[in-house]
Amino acid sequence: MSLQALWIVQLPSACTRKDGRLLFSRIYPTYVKKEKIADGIHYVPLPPNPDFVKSLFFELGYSKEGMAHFIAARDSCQKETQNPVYEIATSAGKLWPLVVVEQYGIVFCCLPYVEQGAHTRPPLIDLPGVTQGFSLLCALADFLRPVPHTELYQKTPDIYSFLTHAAPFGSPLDTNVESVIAKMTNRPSLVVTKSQKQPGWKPVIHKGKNHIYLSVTEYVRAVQYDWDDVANVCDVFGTISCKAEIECVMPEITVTISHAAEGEITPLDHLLIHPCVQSADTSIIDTGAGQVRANPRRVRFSPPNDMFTLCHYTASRVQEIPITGCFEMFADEKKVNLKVKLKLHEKIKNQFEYCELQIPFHNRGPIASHDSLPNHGSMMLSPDRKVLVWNIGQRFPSKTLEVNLTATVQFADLSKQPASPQDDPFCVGQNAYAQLYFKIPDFTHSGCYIDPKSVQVSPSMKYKLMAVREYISKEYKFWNIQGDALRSVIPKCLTAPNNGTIDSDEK
Amino acid sequence: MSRQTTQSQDQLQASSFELRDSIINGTILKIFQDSYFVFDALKVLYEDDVDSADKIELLIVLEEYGHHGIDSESIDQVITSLLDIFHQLRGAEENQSVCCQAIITATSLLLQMEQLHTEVGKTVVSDLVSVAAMYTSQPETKRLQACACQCLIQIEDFSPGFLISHKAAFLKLVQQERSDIIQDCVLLLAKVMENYVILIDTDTAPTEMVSGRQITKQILHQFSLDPTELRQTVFSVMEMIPLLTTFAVWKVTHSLSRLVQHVPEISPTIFKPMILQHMATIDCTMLHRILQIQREFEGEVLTSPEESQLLDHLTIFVNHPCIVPAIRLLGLQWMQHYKQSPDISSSLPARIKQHNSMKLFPSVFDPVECHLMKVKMNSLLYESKDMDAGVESAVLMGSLGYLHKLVWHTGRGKTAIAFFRALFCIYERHHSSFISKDIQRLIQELISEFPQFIPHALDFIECLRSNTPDSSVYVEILSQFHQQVIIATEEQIAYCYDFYLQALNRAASEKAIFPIPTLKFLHYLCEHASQIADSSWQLGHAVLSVCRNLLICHGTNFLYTEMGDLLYYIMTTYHDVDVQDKAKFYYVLLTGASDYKIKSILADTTYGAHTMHQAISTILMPDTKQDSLAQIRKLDSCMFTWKRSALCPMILPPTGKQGNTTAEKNFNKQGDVQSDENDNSKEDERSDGENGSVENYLKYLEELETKIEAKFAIKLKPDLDFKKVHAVSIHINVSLDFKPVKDIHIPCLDQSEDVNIVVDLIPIKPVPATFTCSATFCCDRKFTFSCDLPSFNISLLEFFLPLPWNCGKNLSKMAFFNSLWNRIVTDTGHGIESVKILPITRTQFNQAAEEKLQQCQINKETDLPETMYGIFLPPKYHLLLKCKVIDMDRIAVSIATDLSTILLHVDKFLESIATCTSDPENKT
Repeated sequence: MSLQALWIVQLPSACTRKDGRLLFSRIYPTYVKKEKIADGIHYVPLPPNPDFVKSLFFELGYSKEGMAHFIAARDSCQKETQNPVYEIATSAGKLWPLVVVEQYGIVFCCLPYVEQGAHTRPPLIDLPGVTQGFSLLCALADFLRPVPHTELYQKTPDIYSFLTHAAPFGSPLDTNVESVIAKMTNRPSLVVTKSQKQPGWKPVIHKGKNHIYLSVTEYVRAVQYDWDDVANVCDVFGTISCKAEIECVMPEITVTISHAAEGEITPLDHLLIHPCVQSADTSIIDTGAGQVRANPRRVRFSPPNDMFTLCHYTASRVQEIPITGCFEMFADEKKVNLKVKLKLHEKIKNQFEYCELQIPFHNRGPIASHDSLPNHGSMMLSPDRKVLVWNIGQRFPSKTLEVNLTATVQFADLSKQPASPQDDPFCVGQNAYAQLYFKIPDFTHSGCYIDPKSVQVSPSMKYKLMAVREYISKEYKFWNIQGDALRSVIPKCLTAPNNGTIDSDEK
Repeated sequence: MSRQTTQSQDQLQASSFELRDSIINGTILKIFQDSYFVFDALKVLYEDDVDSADKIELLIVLEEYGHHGIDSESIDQVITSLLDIFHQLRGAEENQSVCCQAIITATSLLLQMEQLHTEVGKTVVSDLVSVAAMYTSQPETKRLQACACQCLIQIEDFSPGFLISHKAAFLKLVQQERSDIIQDCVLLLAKVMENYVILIDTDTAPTEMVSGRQITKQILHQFSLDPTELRQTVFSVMEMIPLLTTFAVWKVTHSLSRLVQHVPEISPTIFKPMILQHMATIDCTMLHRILQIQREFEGEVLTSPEESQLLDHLTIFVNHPCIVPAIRLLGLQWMQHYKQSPDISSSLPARIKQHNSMKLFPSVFDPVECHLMKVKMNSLLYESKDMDAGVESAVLMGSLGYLHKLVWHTGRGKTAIAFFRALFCIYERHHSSFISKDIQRLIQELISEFPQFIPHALDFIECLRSNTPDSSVYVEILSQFHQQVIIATEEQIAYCYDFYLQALNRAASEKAIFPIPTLKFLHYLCEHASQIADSSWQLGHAVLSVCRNLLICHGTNFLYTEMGDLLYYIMTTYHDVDVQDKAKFYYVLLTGASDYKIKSILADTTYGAHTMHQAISTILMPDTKQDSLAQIRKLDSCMFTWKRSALCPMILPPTGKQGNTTAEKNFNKQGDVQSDENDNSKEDERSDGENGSVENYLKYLEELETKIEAKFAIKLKPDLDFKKVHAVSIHINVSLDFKPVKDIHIPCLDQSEDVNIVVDLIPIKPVPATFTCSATFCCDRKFTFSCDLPSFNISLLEFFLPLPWNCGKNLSKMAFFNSLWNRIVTDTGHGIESVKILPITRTQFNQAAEEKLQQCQINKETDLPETMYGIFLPPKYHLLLKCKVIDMDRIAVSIATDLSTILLHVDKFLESIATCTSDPENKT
């Protein structure tokens, strides 16, 4: 459950044409020695850093050959896929299990110590180092996110310091960035009372006024085809986040997740809870259980200092898609004609913070001109003139709850523009989609909310409570009914209620 | 701060960057090869004016690479120095981080260099224990205390039982500590307890720890715990779980689970409250640990319904939209291997199969990697025997829908790899005919639209074959590929020939696939090689690779003609010398070696060729921007001086075999008969005999071998970039009237060298011609160039030879000449007779004839009214001249020839004689 080494590598950039390079490496020689003992004659030594980077780029498809050509050693069917775990070829043999996290042009990777010997290729369930290494890499990526790529090299001392506290001797111990930073800066903590012990995950105890912030963020993602033979897909799920600044070593907070009398009043299928939760109603509602009441769920927890995710949930019993629509587009090389129709469901609160339909035109030149006729809201173009944006505004027309758009869009010559890596290769010809972005404050589709009256804090104290909720779209697509679309449909024969399945594709 | 101090810091800053760069460049070990570097680094660490961050960086470099520069004699000195630095700095709050790194480096070097059981090792441990176990309420020293605990954990991990004597101190520390470093103390205590129990219970300590363990055993008895006390300690550690991070929970429960396995008095149910509390966790580390505990103590911790609940939560976890895809992928892998059966890939837990199967169906929102993993999970949900039922097959094939559509519309490499892997996952487990047909159809459609996926498809079927060697699917799919390739359009071939050749290469090794269409396809490729791929080395060798496989697999009988034609075509026309050479080699094998021999020669190279294909064909891609060494660069100017020095037509002396031919014998025999030719009584017979003689002569000519030997001198022009060239290959383009001339090869040519070359030109018809020449050569930079050489001519005069007879008497010659004349002008349909009047005197004519025709003169007597010339034109033609004076200043030349097409050239030749003799300047 420890690491032999860790690397941070900058990927080659297609835009700036800069070669990739190693930014940082950290070797933990004690675990390298242990791996040597565990693997015996099968031990594969760590390659020199330049060789490592070369092999890594090859495996990830960032070498000069890229992924355009089939290379059996990397791409064969028989090679087991274990993402995010990779095997890279070195001159001394195959290095495994290399855990890789790729973020914003930077690759964070580490090589865990395999107690059984890496050559025995144990399954990942027997490799704690992989899971812990992955968590450490994610934390490191979070820690370095504010740092521009060009300054990462100068941040080497900070990275060393972060790793020393997050993973002493390469053995992950704490990956909460705030907590590690507190240890790095050796921020003094309150002297705790004799009766209480300060948790390891809370190196600093808040001093000042008590605040509790609870937020329910519910998401909806949908794919709408408007085809007779393919059902639309819609998922509703949410996250409850908390930030509790309380002047106490281990306060206990109890909250109740209830359902307001708006939206669809749908029971939550389950809760996935944070490790600080001491008790919670996490029971799973069987999808084949018929009608189920939306009962409140109670959660008791002892919060860390910083903002954290208290729980996740899904609400698969939501029956209605919040905004239904139809997107029809006829395209030729230089011009497209399109029509969009959107309708807000009556149970959804008609008060948006924003509601915007974006129609991206992939694999085409920039928009030269457009003639748009929305019956509601306004039109604009993205700065790169690749996306037609329909700003619907804060409300749908209250009588019809329906909005329409017709538009003709002319494009400049694609050959004058360099191909953009952001272009979706699927979207060529008639294949296209429109994506809806909206946010409704103080509303959830499932009706779920935190009842402020239910919040209890122990030991008893004064605190200021803030409980908010919001409903946000996430990957909300309308495919062009005149083109092809990506779909994954469970065969109808298997979606009978007795099969115990989520009927997500057949709503 | 003094000026000197600033300079020192600057230098160190610079060296710190240098160290960082050398780590990145992989040259750090060279620095440590200098045995003084480590001590220089220690000196820097003692300096007060060096920045803490730089000191920490230097200490980390020592930790990571120090063992490369420290030998066993100096290690104690290094560790002592590190401890000294630690003691010097620990008083100041701002130096706590440097102190922490100093003890980490000291501990790491101690363990790496196996110095734990030495005096210095004991000193380090003693210092660490005193730091870890000190009770202080000063927050600024807490980090140092935590660090000391971590160092001790490492020591205990490397040498189990080493710290047992401090167990009581650690227990007290856990009880007393109130700050957040409690988890470091708990981890240390748990580790010590774990090792203590294992050492007491077993006798399997690591061999390298023997000396340490002997000491430990004695200590163990001194510090033995009774089970009740042990249980209390374990429970008190479990009570600390809520105070620990998930990683610390992992480590503590790992230690305790090992302990529980050795202490029957402690039940694994101590973990149950924790598991039930965190079963629905969002934290991957916690969930992973819970799954591991459940697997370790299967049936002892959770009841069956509780385990089902755990698996239901795992299913939710791997599908939840809020969990990042990489963690969901990890979760899917845990699910795949959760069941601890001997064949772990065989099946998923029953709970998943029965209640959650459809939750593993890929969603339209899943990224490609999740799709692939879920297809894999779906294939594990069903047993192979169910596959023909239809429903399960429909689910499996349906789960591919998204990937298939994505590949179909995007033609992208990564998606294609995932798609073929998904196909393989399904087929590997369910190779039923139902699934097989569907997969074949999918692949067929895909590669007909995207030939670039042929390598993926070939790999797929190769993997199928290695997994199911008895299956006929391999040949069926390969036959389909083959069929598709040979009916490809010209346009498709031009774009995708390299992929098609890969398919043909594989098909060529299959006996069941008819090879003749393959050869026709290859012939087409070679004929159009210059347009398709600029006659590249790669294309040539790919074609020959297919030929090799065909020869190995099918032998020579079946393909002799087609293969021979193809190889001959390549070796004579392909614009790459290396390809030509290899084709020639195969051609020689085809025409001269037995099938057994061919197989034994070519099969040996199969492996090498395969690796070459992998190494060169795939690494040097067709669209690479680098200059190809195989490409021939055409130069505008000639790099050589190329002069013809002599030209000599000749009849080759008959070989022993030729000398015995019937025609020659008859002709010679006839010559013998002619020794009696003055006998008038036999004139008629002679006449018959002469006719017979001419016939025999003509038969003799049929077997006669002639050539025109041309001598050339070639030299590299001075003052050029090329001082020396290699592999000079001279090519002479001949007209249709000559047989093709083999290329002349010169291994090496430098500027000081003049090389003479003899070329045999073998005429088919004696027609004057101009020959163009070119040279191909390599320079020292390994590039290949070509340039034109000056052309050269052959005139009619240069063909002239005397008639090839061997009777020595003039009369006989005359008679033979006349017979031949008659034969040419009367008997043969190709002969022609003509007259040319030259406006010159006899004297002038004789002078010119003496120079050009003397060797061909039949009658030497000057008093005869006619002078006759019998000219043999190789390989078998004649020019007969009779020259007669008319009007004193004119010569009438009667001409007879059996090659009418040269009449124009004869006319020009005679004109040249007239001009030459009438113009004294020309003559000179």
